[in-house]
Amino acid sequence: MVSELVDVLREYYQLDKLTTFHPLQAFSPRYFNKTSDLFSFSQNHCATAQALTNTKPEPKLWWQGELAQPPEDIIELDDLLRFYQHPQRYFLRQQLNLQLTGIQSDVEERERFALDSLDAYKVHEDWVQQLLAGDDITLPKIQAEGKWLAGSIGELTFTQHKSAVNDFVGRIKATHCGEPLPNKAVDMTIGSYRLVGNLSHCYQQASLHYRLAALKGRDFIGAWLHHLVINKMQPQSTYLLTDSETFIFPTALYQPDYLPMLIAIYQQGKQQPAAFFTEAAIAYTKQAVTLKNNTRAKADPFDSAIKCLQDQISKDADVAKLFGNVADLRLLLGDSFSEQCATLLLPAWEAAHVI
Amino acid sequence: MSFKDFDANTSPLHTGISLIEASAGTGKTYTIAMLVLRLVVERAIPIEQILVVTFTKAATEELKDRIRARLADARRELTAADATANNPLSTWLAQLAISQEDIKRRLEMALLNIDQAGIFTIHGFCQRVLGEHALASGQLFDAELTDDLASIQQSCTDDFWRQHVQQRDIWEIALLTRDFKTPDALLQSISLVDEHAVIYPEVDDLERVLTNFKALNVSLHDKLPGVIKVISPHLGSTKFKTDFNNNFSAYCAELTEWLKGGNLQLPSRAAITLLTTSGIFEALNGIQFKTTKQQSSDERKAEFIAELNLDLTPFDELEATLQHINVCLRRNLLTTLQTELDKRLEQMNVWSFDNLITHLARALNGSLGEQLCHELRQRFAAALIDEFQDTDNNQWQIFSTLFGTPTHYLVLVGDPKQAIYKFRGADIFSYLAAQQYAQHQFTLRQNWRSQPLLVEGVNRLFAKDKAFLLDDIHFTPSASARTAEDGCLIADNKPLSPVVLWQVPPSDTKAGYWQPNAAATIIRTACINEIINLLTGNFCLQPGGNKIQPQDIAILVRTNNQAKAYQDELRAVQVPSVLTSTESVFNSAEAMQLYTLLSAVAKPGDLTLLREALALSWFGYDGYGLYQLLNDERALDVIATRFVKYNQLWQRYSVMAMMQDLMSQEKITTNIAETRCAERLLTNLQHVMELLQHAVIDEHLGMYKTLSWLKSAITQAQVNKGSAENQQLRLESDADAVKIVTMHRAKGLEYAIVFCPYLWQDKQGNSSSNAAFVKCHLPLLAGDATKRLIVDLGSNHFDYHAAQEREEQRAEDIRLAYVAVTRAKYRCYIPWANVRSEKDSNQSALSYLLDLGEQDFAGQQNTLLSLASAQPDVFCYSLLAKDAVLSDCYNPNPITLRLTPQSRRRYLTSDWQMSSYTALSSLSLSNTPEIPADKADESLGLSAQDTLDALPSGAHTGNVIHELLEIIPFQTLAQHADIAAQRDAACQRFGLWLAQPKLIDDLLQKVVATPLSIDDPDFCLMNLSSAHCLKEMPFYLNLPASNTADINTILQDEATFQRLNHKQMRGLLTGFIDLICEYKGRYYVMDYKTNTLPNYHTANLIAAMRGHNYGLQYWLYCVVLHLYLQNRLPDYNYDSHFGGVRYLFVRGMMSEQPISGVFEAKPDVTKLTALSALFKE
Repeated sequence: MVSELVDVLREYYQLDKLTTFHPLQAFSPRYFNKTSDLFSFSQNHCATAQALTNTKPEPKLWWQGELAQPPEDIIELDDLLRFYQHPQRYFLRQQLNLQLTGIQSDVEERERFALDSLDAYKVHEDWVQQLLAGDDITLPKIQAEGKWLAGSIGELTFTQHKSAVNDFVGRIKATHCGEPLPNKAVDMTIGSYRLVGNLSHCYQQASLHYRLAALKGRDFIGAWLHHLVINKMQPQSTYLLTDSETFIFPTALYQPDYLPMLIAIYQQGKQQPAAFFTEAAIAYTKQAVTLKNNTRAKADPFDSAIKCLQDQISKDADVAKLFGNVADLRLLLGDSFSEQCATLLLPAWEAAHVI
Repeated sequence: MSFKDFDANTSPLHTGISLIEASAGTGKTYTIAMLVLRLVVERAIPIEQILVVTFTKAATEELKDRIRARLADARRELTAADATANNPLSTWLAQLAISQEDIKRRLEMALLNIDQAGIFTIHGFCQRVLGEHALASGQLFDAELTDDLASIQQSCTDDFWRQHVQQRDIWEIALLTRDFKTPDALLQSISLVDEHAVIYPEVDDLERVLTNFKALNVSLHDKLPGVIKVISPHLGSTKFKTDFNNNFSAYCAELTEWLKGGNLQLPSRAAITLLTTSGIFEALNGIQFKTTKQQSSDERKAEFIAELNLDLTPFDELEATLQHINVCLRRNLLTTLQTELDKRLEQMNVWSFDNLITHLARALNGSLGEQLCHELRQRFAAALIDEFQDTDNNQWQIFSTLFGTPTHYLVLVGDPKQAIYKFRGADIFSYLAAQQYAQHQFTLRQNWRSQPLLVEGVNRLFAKDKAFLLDDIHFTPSASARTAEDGCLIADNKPLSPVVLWQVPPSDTKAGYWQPNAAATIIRTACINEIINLLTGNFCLQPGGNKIQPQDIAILVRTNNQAKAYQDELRAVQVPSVLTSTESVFNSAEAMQLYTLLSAVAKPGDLTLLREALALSWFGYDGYGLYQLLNDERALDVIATRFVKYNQLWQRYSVMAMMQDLMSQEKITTNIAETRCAERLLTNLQHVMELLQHAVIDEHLGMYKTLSWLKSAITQAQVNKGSAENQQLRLESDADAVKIVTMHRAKGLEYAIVFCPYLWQDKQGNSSSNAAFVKCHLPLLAGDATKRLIVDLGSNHFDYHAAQEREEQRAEDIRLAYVAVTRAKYRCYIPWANVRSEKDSNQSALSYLLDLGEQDFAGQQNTLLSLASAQPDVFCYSLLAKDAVLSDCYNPNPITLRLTPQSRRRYLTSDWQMSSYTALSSLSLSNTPEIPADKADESLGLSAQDTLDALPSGAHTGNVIHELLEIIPFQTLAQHADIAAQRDAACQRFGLWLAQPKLIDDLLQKVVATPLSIDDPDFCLMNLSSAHCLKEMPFYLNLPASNTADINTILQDEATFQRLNHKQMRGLLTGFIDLICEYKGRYYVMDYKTNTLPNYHTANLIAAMRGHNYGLQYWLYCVVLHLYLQNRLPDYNYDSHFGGVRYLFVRGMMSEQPISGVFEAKPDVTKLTALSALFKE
């Protein structure tokens, strides 16, 4: 139709330049620079076009500067532990009251054919508890509860997982920590601060942390902090078991300097989000130890930390929000990072890690 | 059979099958359009009987345009006065032995019917045929297309899993799930292939295999102790490797435990291979079995094993059977899917794209196939198949069955050298098979795209014997149709050689070989520096002498990641670029962010969601800004209120309307525009919003449904790799930018300057031997000419088939390279790097074409240099620097432009309107009962008086009376003639039921007979001749900007006028005057009123006139008449010509009593003039 009309207009009326070619975008500068017949009334698109033609500023960190909040004298132990679990999430939740949830997946409508790792982990956790208490879980029960795969496949998977769980429980028992104790009340003075709260994971002979999963930085830091706090009260060792790693923090590792340093970082982390990087720090420490012990290892620990952080940026909404647009993560971590790792973590790791 | 050159204008048109090989740039589309034109004109085939099939929707659109344009050109050429013009069309027209009239008629018919032309994609054609010939093809009528085959496959596989795996006993499950833990993994390991494929191995019965396996286990169980006993004494000796010595007992324990049935878990692979012949062989320590003069090492090993006198067969069988179970399970699934999928699709009454084609192919071979063929042959006289190299066996079957007759024209146009869509199911071997059937084979030799030296260069690159590896693909050197004057690249007044060969120097390793990534980086830097050089240096394109612009340059890559890498670097040096991508827009961050924002709008009361939304970069807050905002209750409250408003907008209008408002209020586009890659982000955002709005309309989604639709679209996009066409990322900019395109997508396009930075890359590395299946083409029987598609899931010939597949892949790589280098018009850059491992030489296209693979650096350099020295005007060579860095930024126009939007000169809302007297009078101050919308609806409902012997009051009566007075001459009414027909029709039309219809006749008789003047008894309607009456005269009064107050002032003393409320008015006042008539040289305005009044004395009449503000009406009518007479009557004079006003309250009119029921007035001339003046400005 249109091409016919154009034909007729061209042939019989000698009208040639009838077709207006519009730019692809409504915010094209060509609508607003008055160099052609194109025009647009939209103020909004004009502002957009203007912004597009302006030179772009270098992307800068989303968070600049520090909050000027006066430090509180009393520190809740829980709060301190929570901070070290994930300093960035802590900062966004605590200071900005911001929870980045993203997209939560819907409940799957399809029948389950495989156990995903989270489902398995939840069952494992319970399973380990039961075994330690001298009990066991039964397949029909967890199947009935919908926590496990149904049918013979479930049975097969169950036997496959059973040995792993049993092994893990065997390792826990081998620590001979004894019976679990009720939480210990903590109220201590560290420098100018008072640290108050309850300490869990205490057993008759030692402290014990365990998680049947791959080691995460937060597991290590959690156990390390625990070790420092409890040793300020009484000398004792702390165990940390994960699926493939064992750490025993010896009493001798306790030094009175560590806690004030960790609290200083915590105070800093309440003012700005880049005070500490739990996972990256552990990645750094791990690689630093490897480098020391293995002459063939080459990778720089700092690169391992960067890689870990990049990985977090791609998966973790909180970290991505804070550091997603940083061009050079090296500058972000800076010298203080290596220093933190070297003074606070490396000695602990080396002393505690059981190979 | 040899290829003849084809000239679209002159080559004869043959019925039967013709094949036209159209090398790159030879004007394939031109040829097709010309062929259609010639079929229309020379063979008198109506356009709707010509079928043109191509492969993409975009191509069909372009083809339709081109064909239409060609037909129009021909018609213009025919009618052009200047018959001597020397162009191909006029030459062609001139030599036709057909009368001008015939040609013209045929062209015009074709142009008229162009929309009925059969120009389809292959899928479009099949869908059309199956739909239109549902009976003959055995289809349901209303099947729809689905592109969601994946979920159907998934559910078929799930069912297969339930039937064949899940319900078995636990021991068998352990066996079957050894390699594939889930149905998803199992599905992933097979490839869906069409029914023509030959699948290896044959289907085996799973039950039988499992039973055999159990029997095997028994014998293993018996044999194992014996074997252990024989080997044990040798353990610890140096005969075996250390690993074997160390692990032997553990592995044996594993095996024993499993064979006993104590452990369900299958032994590890190492344990299973431990005691196989090859396992033992491998485990022997080479140092102990060195080659001697008499025996080779392997012979000595074999001898040692023989001496042990072990029966290892069951262990070999164990390994083989486990492998066989794996293959058998997959083979069974494949068979199930092939039948089940069709069934499911049929049940759901949908077609997938693939099974459209298979269905048609099957229907043509089916019982009603003959009939279907017959119908389609009747319908189409000629079929032109474009891009025929991308066909597959089914498609070829369809077209050859339908149109491979001696009476039809079947023209296949394609280029086997450009068959690069194997991954999409295209099958070059179908093309080659078709080639054998074609009775006429042609080739298009003239290259219209590239400059002559570049054509020469390409000819040279592909000059090698069997350049395309396959026997049946021949390279015919093209001839350039262009000359150097038509265009070339110039530097300092000298033309540059069009083919640039770059070589990367040897790497720092001992052998000097390169890793792919390192080589790619060096080449990338070189390309980008060269691009900046081209843009800023003293280069220009001739003719015209234009400087090179970014849009003249294209970079052809292989993968999306390579494209991104190039775009990142180009951005770093500020060269604008666009890349085309097939990724789904729902996979972008913008889709996710939109979801976050919409969630907050959907629940405006939820502060957590609101805070999360505000944290989006779209709102332009940095961390500290957001902190301040979130801690400012009041500011947050203001935003929350705005979100409530957005929520309402969403509910009341649509998500799109809401988002437009939100984006402009919150300055979202502007905020985004200030960031980097803003065009990309904005384009994506707009794209997602549009798709969402479409879904909302199509699927009637409410607010929460919209959200969950978006969510599932996002999650699906994250899972699926490919994306539907409408979801593929759109171009973010059409501005002047370097194009970054994958070689596959570049097919059919052309660019002035082309970089092909990945022709050294071989794809062999990724198609490894542990692939789950391979596809290749082989003749089924030795000596068979046609090759069949073979899919091997793991037969004994797997390795052979895998090698064959690699060879075919290599051939496709060469074709891809051909596509890449033929995109250029003026210059093409071809970098080479010796990327290879110690063991395997480079297998890339470039390596094959120039025989570089086996040479060392110097040899390769020699080859490249000799090309340059042999044809220095075609090739130039340079060695790249290893440590080059990106040069300076390209910054074409740093001046910041001041942009301004067009300012508005008027507002879209206007007080200008077309109004009627009724609208005006509704402004009357007093509370008149609602003003009737229809002017006849004037009677007040005095229903008490309604009796059988009186006319009912109400609008019906009014309408009937008005109608009859309008259509029946007054004289007829006066004579009391029979008007029953008209009366009844009018009553029926207006829904008036009368007990005594005659009442109307009587009433009308009275109306026309009542004198309208006291002084002149002859002044009755019945005495007016039709020539002096204007009935129902329409008028439009211009109403310049004015105020009702003006009217009030002029008419303030009028007894029948009510004051109007204040209103600003503009526009036109419109209405109909019942009657304007001339009597004795004077003109009157008359209006019929059917109001029922208690009596019709003058006082009552005036009250009624005022009650309805008829005063205003008659004044307006008078103005109309006054102005009308001024215009129409020469020497109009108010006093002598203007008769006055008569309002006939018909119910009160009595013929014996003059002016009974008549309101009579003659407006005051000064007032009338003043009032008229209001309307004249």
